[in-house]
Amino acid sequence: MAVFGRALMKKEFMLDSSKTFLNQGSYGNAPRRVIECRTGYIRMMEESPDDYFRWKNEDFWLSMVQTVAEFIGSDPQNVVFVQNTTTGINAVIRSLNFEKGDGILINSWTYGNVKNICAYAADTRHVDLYYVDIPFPLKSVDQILTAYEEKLSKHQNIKLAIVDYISSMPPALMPVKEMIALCRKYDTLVLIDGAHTPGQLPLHLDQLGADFYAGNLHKWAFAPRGSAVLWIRPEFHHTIFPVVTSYYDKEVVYKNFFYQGTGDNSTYYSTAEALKFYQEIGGYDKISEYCSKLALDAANLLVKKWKTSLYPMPDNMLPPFMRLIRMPDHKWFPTFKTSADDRKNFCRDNMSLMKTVWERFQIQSVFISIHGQSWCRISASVYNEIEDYEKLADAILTLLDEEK
Amino acid sequence: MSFGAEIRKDFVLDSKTIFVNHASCGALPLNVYNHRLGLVQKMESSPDVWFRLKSESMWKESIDTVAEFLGSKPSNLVFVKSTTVGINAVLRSLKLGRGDSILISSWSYFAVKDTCHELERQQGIEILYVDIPYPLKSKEQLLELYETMLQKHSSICLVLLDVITSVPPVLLPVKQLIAICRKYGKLVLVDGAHVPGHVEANLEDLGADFFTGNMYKWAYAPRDCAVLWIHEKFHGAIMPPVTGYSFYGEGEMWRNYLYQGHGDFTPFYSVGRAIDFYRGIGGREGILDYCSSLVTKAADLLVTRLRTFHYPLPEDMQTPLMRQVALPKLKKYPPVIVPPGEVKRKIHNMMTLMEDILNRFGIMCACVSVDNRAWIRLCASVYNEISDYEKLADAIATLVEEDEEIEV
Repeated sequence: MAVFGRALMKKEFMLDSSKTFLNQGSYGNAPRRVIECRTGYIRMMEESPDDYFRWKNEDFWLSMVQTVAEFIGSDPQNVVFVQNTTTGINAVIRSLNFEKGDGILINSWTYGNVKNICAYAADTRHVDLYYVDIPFPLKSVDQILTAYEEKLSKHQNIKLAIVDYISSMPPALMPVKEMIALCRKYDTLVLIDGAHTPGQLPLHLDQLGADFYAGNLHKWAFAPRGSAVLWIRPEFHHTIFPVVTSYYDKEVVYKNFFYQGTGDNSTYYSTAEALKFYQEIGGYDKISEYCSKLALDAANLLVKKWKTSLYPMPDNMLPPFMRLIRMPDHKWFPTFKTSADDRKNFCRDNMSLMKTVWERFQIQSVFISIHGQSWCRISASVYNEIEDYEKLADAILTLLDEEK
Repeated sequence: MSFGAEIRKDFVLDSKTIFVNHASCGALPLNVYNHRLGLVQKMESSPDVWFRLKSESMWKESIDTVAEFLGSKPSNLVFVKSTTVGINAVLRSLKLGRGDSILISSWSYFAVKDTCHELERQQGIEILYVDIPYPLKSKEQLLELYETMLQKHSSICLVLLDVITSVPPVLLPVKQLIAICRKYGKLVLVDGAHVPGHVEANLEDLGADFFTGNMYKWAYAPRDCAVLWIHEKFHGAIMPPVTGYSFYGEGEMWRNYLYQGHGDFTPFYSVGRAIDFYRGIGGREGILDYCSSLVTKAADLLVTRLRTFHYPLPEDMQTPLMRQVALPKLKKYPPVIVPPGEVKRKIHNMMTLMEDILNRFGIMCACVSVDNRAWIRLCASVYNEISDYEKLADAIATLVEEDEEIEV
């Protein structure tokens, strides 16, 4: 079993090991061997492109789907690859037959891209968009469930609910099973935004009870960027089409997603190598044991050093490998007024702080504003160690000191 | 510049195979391949910096470079992964529905036809075809066919025109066709998949509303690198197929296309290196000088050796770098016989024949069935020489001999 921490970073990852990376959650990081595997496919593709596209491509796809489907607890027939969760969600929303007056339900924590695609659907297809405003501070899971029940019972026209499995900002483990049950009660289709879940949670998609699920393999499952899955319940196999039509087959769902012209599917074909790595370094049990503890310890450390607090949410909603920590009160960490349904301002990157912390301290982390307050989102991955977060803590304290 | 076997070594292409099908998948120079991998390395060593701090400037810089190459204003140009994506973006964004028609042709690329029929199913748009006759006698005949269709069907909202069709490979009188469409007040979307690097492009002067073309075919960029040109008046209206990070409808158009969720966009950022390579080996003039005469010789060679004929086309409609030559009738590889008037499923790849030629003779060439006959669609690229086509002729001759043994 591999040792976790910086030693693993040096041994297996392409990240510059003289620097500190606390943001596996945003873009993911694939180990060198996985990138090399991908490069091998690109090379094969370029050495004999016709051969690759006409005769090899499909076998690679089918074989990879088999491997990945097992990892996510699904029958291979329900799974197609897409570039990322955003694309998968776009495919579902664009394919579903919404009529004027049909509703889509999202919430204030819904990912920005998803809010955008829903807004686009609202404008172009006259769909009604409904929001659950998740209270701040959030005291219990029941507050979310009550708000959902209220919305669903009041607006029987809601056709689709998009539910995060683990939201991005704030990072939270949502009561997905209960939310699916509620949607079923009101005859609402459920699309799970599972961007953060492959690798961070064990998945049993065939039993989850959702209609659709999209999740990234390139975040916590160590695949190269541009590999994600879209899971489609069997009764929708002939309904959901990719956002780009290249090949149009009414019978076999995967063919439409697979055959996207002479596009580069090498990221998909490297997923088996990524999952092999995942298992080799300990699999879900060991990875979860290490990263969960590290996230907890790191959060405690930062809260203590900054004299702040965690984003206020119930303990049972803390996601395994991420935390959101309040920044100290200071002009570096601006606050401003916003409302939960303000798409543009609900969650904003603090780019100048990110840039400063990178340039001066060689630390990559995410600094954002939510509810008009300043926060830092940390990720704990297999290549991180507690010292990384000490560096982050000290960096911020240094900035604060300098301003005195 | 030494073309043929000499320059072949500068490509990633496998040395054991003869490739005479550049048009389908392009071919990547080692130089550009390594450059792209170098960008992947940078991206992997520091992803946040790459995506949050560098992406936008790399995008803009690459757009500036390719815009200049294609005679376009940078502000009208965005990257997309392929022409098919560009076409999907335009057709899916225009709010067409029941009562509206799109005009394509029997020569339109299969993915274009499929996209149109998907929209027919989803949105009730009518798909109309210009049925191009065999043989096509002249440019004028083609122009007349379009004029007739446009006169007859006032429901047509948009015309999808090729500059160079894939099968059969034909150079269409696109400016004249655009003029006819304009006369009838129709929107024009130009499928320029084969344009960049092959024929001169001056997108600002084209007179179209939309244009999309691949950089990875004749302009040596890595796969997943193409452009979509959008006339200024449509900048707010044409959204990419994937709505992503950018607050759609607000701000500059290009951000909608950059922020498509997370992925590897290094092919876009390699376009400068590809264009450098293209220019370094002689640019369009140098390349066409070699390749155009080579493909003409190659086609003549095959016609003579196989005792068949060229795909019948007016001389001024031959493309610079592609030709189509009839195959002898082979019992083992029959063409697809298509009912008269069939426009949608008129063109087929002859996969078994292509596979056999590749596996038995180590030659990759496109064999197609169209107009009820089997053909070879030939390409000539800088790494080809006449001996490639001599070997192809030998291979076909062998198949013909073997075929004569087969009893019907």
